[in-house]
Amino acid sequence: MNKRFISLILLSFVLGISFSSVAQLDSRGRNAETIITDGLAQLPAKNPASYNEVIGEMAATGQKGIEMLAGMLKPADKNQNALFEYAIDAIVSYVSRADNAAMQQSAHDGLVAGLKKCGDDPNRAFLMTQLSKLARPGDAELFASYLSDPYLRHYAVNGLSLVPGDDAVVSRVINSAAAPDAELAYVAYFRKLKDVEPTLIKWTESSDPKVLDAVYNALAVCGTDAAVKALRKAAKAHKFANDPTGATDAYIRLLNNIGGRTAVASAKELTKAGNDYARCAGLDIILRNDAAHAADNVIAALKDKDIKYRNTALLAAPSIIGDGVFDAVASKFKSLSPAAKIDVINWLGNNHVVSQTDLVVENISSQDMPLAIAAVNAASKIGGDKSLAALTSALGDDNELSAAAQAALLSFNGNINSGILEALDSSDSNVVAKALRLASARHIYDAYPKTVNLIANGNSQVNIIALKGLKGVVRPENFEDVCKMLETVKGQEEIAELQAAAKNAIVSLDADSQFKKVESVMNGKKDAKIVSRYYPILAQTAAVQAIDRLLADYNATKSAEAYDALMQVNNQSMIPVLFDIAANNPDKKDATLRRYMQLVQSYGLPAIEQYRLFSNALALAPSVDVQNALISALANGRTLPAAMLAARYLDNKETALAAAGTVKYIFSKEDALRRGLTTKNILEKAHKVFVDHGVNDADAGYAADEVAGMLNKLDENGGYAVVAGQGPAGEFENFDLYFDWNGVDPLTLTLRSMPLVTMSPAGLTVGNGILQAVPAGVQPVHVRMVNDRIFVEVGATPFACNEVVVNPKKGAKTLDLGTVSVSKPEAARNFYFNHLPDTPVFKLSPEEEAQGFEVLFDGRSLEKWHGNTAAYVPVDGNIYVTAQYGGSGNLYTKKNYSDFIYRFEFCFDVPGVNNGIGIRTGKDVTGVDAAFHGMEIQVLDHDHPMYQGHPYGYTGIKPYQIHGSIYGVVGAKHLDFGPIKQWHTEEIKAVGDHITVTVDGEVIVDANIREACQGHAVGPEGTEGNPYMVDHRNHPGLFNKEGYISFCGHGQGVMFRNIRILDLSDKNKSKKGKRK
Amino acid sequence: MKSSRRTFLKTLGAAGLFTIIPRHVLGGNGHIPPSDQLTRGIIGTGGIGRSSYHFNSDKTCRLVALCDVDSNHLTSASNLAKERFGETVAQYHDFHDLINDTNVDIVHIATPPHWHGIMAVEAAKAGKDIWCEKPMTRTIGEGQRVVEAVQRYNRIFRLNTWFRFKDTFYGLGTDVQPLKKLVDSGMLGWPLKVTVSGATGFAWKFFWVGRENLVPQNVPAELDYDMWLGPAPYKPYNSHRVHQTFRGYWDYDGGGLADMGQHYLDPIQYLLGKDNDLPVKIEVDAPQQHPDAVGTWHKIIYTYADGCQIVLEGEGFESQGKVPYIEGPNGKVYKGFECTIPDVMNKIAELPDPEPQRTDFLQCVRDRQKFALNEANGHYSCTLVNLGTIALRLGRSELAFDPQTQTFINDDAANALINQPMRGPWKI
Repeated sequence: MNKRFISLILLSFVLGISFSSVAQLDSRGRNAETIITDGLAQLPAKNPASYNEVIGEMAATGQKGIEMLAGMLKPADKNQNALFEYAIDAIVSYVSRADNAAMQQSAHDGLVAGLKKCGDDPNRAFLMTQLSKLARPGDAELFASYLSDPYLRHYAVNGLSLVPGDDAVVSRVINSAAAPDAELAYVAYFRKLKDVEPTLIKWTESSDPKVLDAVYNALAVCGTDAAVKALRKAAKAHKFANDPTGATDAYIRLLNNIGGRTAVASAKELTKAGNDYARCAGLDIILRNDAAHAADNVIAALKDKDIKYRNTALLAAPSIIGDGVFDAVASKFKSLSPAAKIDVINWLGNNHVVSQTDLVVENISSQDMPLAIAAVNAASKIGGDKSLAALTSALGDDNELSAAAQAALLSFNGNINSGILEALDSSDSNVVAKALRLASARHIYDAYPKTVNLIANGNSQVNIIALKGLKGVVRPENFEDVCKMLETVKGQEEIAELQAAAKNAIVSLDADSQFKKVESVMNGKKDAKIVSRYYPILAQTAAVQAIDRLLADYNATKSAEAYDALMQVNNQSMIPVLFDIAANNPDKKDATLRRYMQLVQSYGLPAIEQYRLFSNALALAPSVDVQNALISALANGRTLPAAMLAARYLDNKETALAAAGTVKYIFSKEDALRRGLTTKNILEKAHKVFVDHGVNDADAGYAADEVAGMLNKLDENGGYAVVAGQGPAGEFENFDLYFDWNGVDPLTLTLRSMPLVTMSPAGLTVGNGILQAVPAGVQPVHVRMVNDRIFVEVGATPFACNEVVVNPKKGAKTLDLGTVSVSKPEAARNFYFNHLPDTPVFKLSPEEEAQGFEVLFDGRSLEKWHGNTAAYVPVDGNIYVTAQYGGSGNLYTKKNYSDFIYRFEFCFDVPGVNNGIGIRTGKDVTGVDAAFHGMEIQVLDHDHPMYQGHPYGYTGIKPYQIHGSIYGVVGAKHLDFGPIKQWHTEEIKAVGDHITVTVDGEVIVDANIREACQGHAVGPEGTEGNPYMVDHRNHPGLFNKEGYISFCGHGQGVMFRNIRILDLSDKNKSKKGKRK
Repeated sequence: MKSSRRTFLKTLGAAGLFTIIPRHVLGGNGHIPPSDQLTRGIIGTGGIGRSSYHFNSDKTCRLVALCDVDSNHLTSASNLAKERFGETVAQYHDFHDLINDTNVDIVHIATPPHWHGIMAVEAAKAGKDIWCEKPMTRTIGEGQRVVEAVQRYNRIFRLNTWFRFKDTFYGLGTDVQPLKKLVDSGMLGWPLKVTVSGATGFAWKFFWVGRENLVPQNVPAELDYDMWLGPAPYKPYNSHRVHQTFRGYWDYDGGGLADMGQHYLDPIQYLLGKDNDLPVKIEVDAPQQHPDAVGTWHKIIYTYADGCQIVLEGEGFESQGKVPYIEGPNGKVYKGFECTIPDVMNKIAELPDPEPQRTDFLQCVRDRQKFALNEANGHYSCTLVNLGTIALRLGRSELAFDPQTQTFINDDAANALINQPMRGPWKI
């Protein structure tokens, strides 16, 4: 027996035990009680991954754990059960997955045990509902035992309906019932039980209509030919009409289910019933169960005077008889009543029956108008040349039929060009008019010459229709031609139509080509009236030159045409243009700002930029309507300043509702903003606004509920505060601030008592960085300082992102605590400050302190490090390697080390993560591969599936590549790290050639590197590779004396903390020095 | 047997010599003869049933009956009918009485969804035509029964959402017709991915969530709570369970997904030409749901056998910035019919309009033709909603579905939610 097989058996043995025994501990040494309590603390789960992990662990505790959970249910009227209900429901759902089926039995047993011990009715009902979901063969007896309990009876019935496989037991329960029972009849119906038919038939003698209802319903699905008699009797007693016992319906369903000759014979009686629905149902049964006579029966049914009856036949016919039925029915068409003819024509159209085109087309000329219209619609669906010809010729008279024909041609199934071009030559002006409209609507470009011709010739009504239709048939080559017409026409309507045609002619070209075409026809034209006719076309081009031209003309003449055209331009660079127009033309302020808002919203600008633009517009004080629109639009500027700006409008009755809506939206979307007293105060105001409006408006009522929900969960600590004056009182380490800079006055921002940011119209400087240009005008400024990093944004432009803070004062220490202020508060309005939690600081234990350890990373700053400080970021006291800033690269200590004890903790945050500790890469050397030019002590989530072998060649990770290995030189002992996101301790001790690696207290490498390769860091000259080295490669730097200690990044998602070192070489040196 | 209103009026007409007949009964220009006049009764007069869109009455279709299990709702809606239309309507407590009222032609179902299936089947059995609010049914099995009953008795059924044939469609800023032409033209390529997200202009109304641990309250005198619950499991009364906020409880509805879902999904089924098709895979990303109270979710993805996808983006995971509403290998369409295909409007105009849909419900009732959104395609789009709620309730990240048999593949727990037993004596 091979080893793998034995270990599989062992594994299944261990798992089997852990499902059924409490005493068994899981991989983290927890027993069932602990797992359940741990699990409950993490519920409800926030995402599927944690859900699966937590619920999976809880489910694996088996019967004992679930029984324990059931026991935790408090009496239901105490209302404390949500958590346990979450857990039980989730476990039941979890084990009911096919891949977790092995756990079902024990979960089921846990529920049964819990149910038996439970005395509270609602809780028993809950457990029975859950048990129904996991019901197993054999449970029927258990559920049946609750049938006599009035409270639990419904749940027992529910269980009896769902329990799998127990048909015999359930049938026995029903057959042995003392009296007719509606709920048991329901169980029979739900399970479609066959063995209870005699009992059910006997129960039809009951006099209780509720019972009869359930019994008839059950017989409808459980019954056979034997039940026909009883149900017919019941239905006939109600004249085959609907009644409270549902006898007729049950009878019809039974006949449907049994089919065959019995059904047909019985259904004939139904077709003579006094109500249409029983007749229709009877006919349907006859058609479906007597295929031989189906066609005759359909034709006979068409003679019926009831439209429902006729359509029942038509609807069912094709699926029963096949396509032959269309010809069969068509051959009898002439003998049908007018109403039946309409039904048949509709039916031919709905089924797209091409073979009956002639019949359909013929009826378009029927004198019976409803029939003719039905034929028009059917012809449009069927399509083909004949239909097209008939429909175009029906365009003539000005009546209902020709209108229908026009609509039918719009949706005609196929190409209508030939028919329309022909119709344009018609001598009937009605036909021509409709053909013009169709040519335009369906863009029949070949109709352009005829359309132009008809603008000038023929009757005047046709002239106008041709003019209106022109815009649908133009292409770029017609542009100049159309422009000539545009310049010569007189009337306003004609001008508008030709402008539309000119625009459409070139709309398919790009902006520049469009502009060139317009420019070339406008070239040299001086007459202002003619020039202005081109404004809408210029506007459509949306080219920058077009905007310049329109703006210049508008500023010179204030012409209404130029203004209207400017309002039409779709180009992002119109946003500042519109703002200037609104600011300088009070009479056009509202209209211009509405367009401005539309444009801002349509370009998907960054939130803070939208805030800036809307806030500027609000500052122009437009009408209340526009203010409200702007306040609502502020919701898209999902930032703190936008919420604060909207909040200011909560106090004004006229703007309060819009402001409350925006405030609600932003706070509901931005989790980080939903804390602190400022937010609470604003939400309370918004809540009041919604409550006041909610009296008459259900939506506002829901909004009030939503805000109340946010308030209930609000954490009052932290959050933003409004700052008056130069800055908040106190000293701060981590914080976030916003203000609007006026764009004019020079300003210095003092952060942690360091003058870190200076700004003026000339530009902005962060620390000792270069002067960077700032956008003009009032600008929102956002600054964030966390640990040793600073972020500065003006508008949506980053000026510093994740930059390491350095005190700009020469020689001064970079501070980690200090005051925050602006030098000129009047230039920095709307100042909001958010004090973020201080970062926990790592301190050495007294032992390590005494031994002389030095802290290399205390949680806050990388000041003792250099290299890729962008990808390695201090976050919450850890060094986090984040993809946000690259996620890779190396980080080096500032000092070189040769012999040392290096201690740290690490945590895998994403599965499969890879890093490494580089040592002794040579004095002051960076940028080399530490594994070969020094040593790399591997850091790796080595049990991730990606490091297992796969069938396509990769044989999986080598022992000298797992976590802790001296990469390629000495393999480490394999450790099982368990789930990710756990912290582990590590120590690397390097003394001469002796390297020791200890993880979580276990020594996993204890080796002499010189012995490991018999002194051969590099293979003998002339050999390929290095036969002495375990990875057969050369490690030329293996015996280097010293170097930086580094993190060697190979991807994001690992964290380090509490990094400290004891430099043994220094110590030795100093000791030696003392001795001398 | 009671004589029906129509036979009664016909008899009256024959005996007209001796009777003063109101002008409208005699017909003539501008008057609809009573035999062509339709009548309607509304079940559920609290929320949507009383909204101005639905609560109307005119000479083509008169409102003649109302039904509610909350006597306050019933009284105030009846007063409103009197005040607004001058109609004295019949008032019913039990919907069976409205359904069996021979004066009613069309039964309008405006109750919470856990009632839709039963009422639609009962109305079909009684020979009524049906106007049903969305979502069509609370389970897939109930939907199958409605389709069966409506077809067996040859009834006309309208499922009430309308974006597949009219109105600009939420944030999209266009109605569905040009989108349908564009999709049918093949210009976008195939398969397509449709994203329903805040970024494409839709809102899932996540405030329609339930509360855990409801405190039992006294049932108000005006409400017949047992009848309100009907087929739903018995749970102690709390005012949050009923009237508007019922949407937050799985027993009656399914939050914003169930309530808005069919509005959003039905036009997509139409656009993609999937009126006879269903997805083969449903993926859900959501926090764990409480067995009673509906919670929120992040994302639901439906994948069809041909590779078409519908992505519903919910709370938290909303795409930032610009996401296309429809995305195909050759082009994308954004909110407001912004399309990456140049000159798309002109290209679309050259194509035939889609086949016209029958959108006049009353006319469909008169000439017995299927309404544009009927029991069959309504059941399919409602099934999308129910597939989502099943995956959510089970906490499954993925479910495999067989559109032919309308069952889940190898998943008993999911299949158990297709047909959920009802509380006796209710049945469908």
